[in-house]
Amino acid sequence: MGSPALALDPEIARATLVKGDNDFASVTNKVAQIVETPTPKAWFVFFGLAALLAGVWVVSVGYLVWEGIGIWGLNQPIGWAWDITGFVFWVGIGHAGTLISAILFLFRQKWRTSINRAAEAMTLFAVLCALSYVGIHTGRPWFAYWFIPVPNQMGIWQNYRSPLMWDFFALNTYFTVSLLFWYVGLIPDLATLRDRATTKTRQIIFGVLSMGWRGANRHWRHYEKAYLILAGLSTPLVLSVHTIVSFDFATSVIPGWHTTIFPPYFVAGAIFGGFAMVNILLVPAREWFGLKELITLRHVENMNKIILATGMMVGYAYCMEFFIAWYSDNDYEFFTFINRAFGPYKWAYWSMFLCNVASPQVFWFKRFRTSIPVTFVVALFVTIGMWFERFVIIGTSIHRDFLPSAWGYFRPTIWDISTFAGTFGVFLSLFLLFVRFLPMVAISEVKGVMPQAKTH
Amino acid sequence: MAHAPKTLNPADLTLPDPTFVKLRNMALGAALVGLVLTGVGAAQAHGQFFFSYLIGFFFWLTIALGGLFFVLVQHLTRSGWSVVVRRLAEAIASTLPFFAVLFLPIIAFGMHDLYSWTHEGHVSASKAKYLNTPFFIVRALIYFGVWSFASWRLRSFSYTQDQTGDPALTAKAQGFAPGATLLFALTVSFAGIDWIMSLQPHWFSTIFGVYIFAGSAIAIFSTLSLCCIMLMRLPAFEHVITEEHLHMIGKFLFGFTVFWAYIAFSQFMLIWYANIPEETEFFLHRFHNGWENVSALLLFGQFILAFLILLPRGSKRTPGLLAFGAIWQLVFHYVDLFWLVAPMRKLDAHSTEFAPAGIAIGDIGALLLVGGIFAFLVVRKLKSAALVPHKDPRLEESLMAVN
Repeated sequence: MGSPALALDPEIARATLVKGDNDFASVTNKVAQIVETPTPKAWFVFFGLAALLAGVWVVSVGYLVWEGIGIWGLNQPIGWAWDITGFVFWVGIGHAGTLISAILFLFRQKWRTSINRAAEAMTLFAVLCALSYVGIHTGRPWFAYWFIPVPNQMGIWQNYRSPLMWDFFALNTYFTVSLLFWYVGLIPDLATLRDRATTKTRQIIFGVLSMGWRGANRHWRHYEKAYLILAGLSTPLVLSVHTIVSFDFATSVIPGWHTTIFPPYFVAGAIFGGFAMVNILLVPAREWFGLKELITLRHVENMNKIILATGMMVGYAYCMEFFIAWYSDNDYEFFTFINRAFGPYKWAYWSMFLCNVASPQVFWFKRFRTSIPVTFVVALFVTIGMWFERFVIIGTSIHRDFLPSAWGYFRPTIWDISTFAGTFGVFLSLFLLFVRFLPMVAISEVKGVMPQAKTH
Repeated sequence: MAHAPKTLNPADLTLPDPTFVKLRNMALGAALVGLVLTGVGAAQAHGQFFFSYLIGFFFWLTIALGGLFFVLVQHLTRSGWSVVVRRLAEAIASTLPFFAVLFLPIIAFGMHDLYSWTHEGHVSASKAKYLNTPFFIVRALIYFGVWSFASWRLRSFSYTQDQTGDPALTAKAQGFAPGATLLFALTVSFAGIDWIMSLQPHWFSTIFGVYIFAGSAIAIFSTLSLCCIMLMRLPAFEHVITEEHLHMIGKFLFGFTVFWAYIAFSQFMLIWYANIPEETEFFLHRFHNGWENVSALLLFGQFILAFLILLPRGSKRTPGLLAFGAIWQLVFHYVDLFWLVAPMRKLDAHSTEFAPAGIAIGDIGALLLVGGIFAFLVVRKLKSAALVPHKDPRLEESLMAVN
């Protein structure tokens, strides 16, 4: 019944997910050899640079702890600026990893298998960067444990009505579940590395990490069950975490912060920014580590389609907010939006609009969706745009509040910039360690989507 | 695993005459009963009848719009599993142009009763630039134009393919879907704002369009479940639409149930927490005068109990249970729309006081009238061609689909 045209028309045929002349053994080899061969010199160069930047973060945070948040450019009325912008930026990036690993799994999207491992690792590292902001933005990180409801002799408890409190719980839940999900997925591959180990040390380390995995029928059955349950648990987390982040703003009465579309709009933006980061990381990685046959152009194209779709959702939210600000007939509401687009921060607003709404439009064309340079450039634009989006929301809404005499303008200090730049160092260092020491593609899952897996 | 028959015979895949006649007569009967009740309701309702009509109209419209959404998304995502059920959604979406006709009574007679912004000086001059009758009609024409065109175009690709078997038509539908989806999102949002949100012209909520969309997604997956279960009883469909397809539709129904709750909660939570009078107005109407019971009913019916009903794997794979869940969700989708519209009913045409919670005869009349016409159009469309796009290049994938 299958018509021959099915195989011919590229618009209709199902793409082969693993290209080239690969079998199970060659897939294992391709992925495992990355962590088994001696470390390439280039890796040291990149890691050195990333670690240097991470050092900048350590110095910035050290000085912050020493001196207090006065070293940042915060002022009245702008009490939140780059710190919360950086926090929301990093939490958002994490969402793509969970979407790929959990939601696309529930949707039976087989193409996720070669990118989910690296995307999940990205999630963990991004959430760590976000958590660091939670810890430091109060200026007294040694009291960070006050976030945790510990019985104490003063009888003082957290304000559970504060969204900032919910945020702390949401993020920790998210990090914990993502870590478990990532680790469970890693176990069969860690066992593969153990079995291939040529030295005693590797054998012991990977042996311990793979928790006695022997690939028995019963192991696989438990593994599949656990994987499905964790995917089910992670799915609502994709929505809940960024929803609660949006509550940080939307539960207030500040025009520009308080609007009902924030929860889904933030989630869409998070996925949008996260996919851009996945592209930024994986486009060079597939090139340098010889993974082009596993992470194919089709994978890149699919991710670009998601970037286009979520970019349009974000654009919808921008326009709906603007329309309702006018429709509401509320002078303060409408002023906030006019001020965003035409006030002192118009450069930030239009940067955001160009990067997030205009730049992904090139992905309407297959030629650009499948072009590596275009993919990379748009991904960079989107990452920049998503940073601006958070800055525009946070900064422009509060820099001109109800009293014109209290209006102000935010200028970052060198410490604002170095702290944020430093988080990139932390993030990239961790990611480079990951690609060096752990299998960056889920070997066992990729095998499951190859034609060889369906022999019956 | 489903075992596909060797060949599908297109002649078997049409709606059998007895079934067609039965369904058609039921639809016409419902419309007739609806017409009588509508007449009684209109006579009794003291100028408040058009609220009933708007609820009935919008209920069936959201199903038709859901049908268009379903077809769009299948092409947008190059979906394979859904081929055998797509024709149903195509037929449901084919009713969209007729809704423009069904909207005429509202424009001709209902504007003044329904929309207080049509009264002189009720909204500010700046808002009247958007909320005024001529522009309202122009926008409605655009919405119906977009929906009718999109549903016709996608349907014609699919029906032509039944004749020619040309796989290029599938590629064309895939090329058409993204832009159409964009227009769909905008038109549905603004139709929701125009027709429902502007019933309280001073109230506003940026998430409202998404809320309307979420409801229509629940509506279509419920309706599709019921249609599939009906078709499965025909012998020719034994191995065509299987429990695997029910399972997938059921999962979407479950997913969109949660999505609806998420959107509804986001809207409520943010307005309740910030407690700004011009926004709380919306919920204030729905927390007094008996409407608090309807609000609670909606929370427990459309979300909490629906969640528990649809969560187990078995209730998505057992036709009887899924039918129960689908009817449940359709009932509560109606409650949802009722909850959105009916609290704005006045005691009578001259009163400024809002009527307490309660059902009018006109509510049932309009539901049956529009529903009967809608069902008649769908059944007629289903009879006009095969019930399965049997030359779709992804048919085999759909027949062999497993969860």
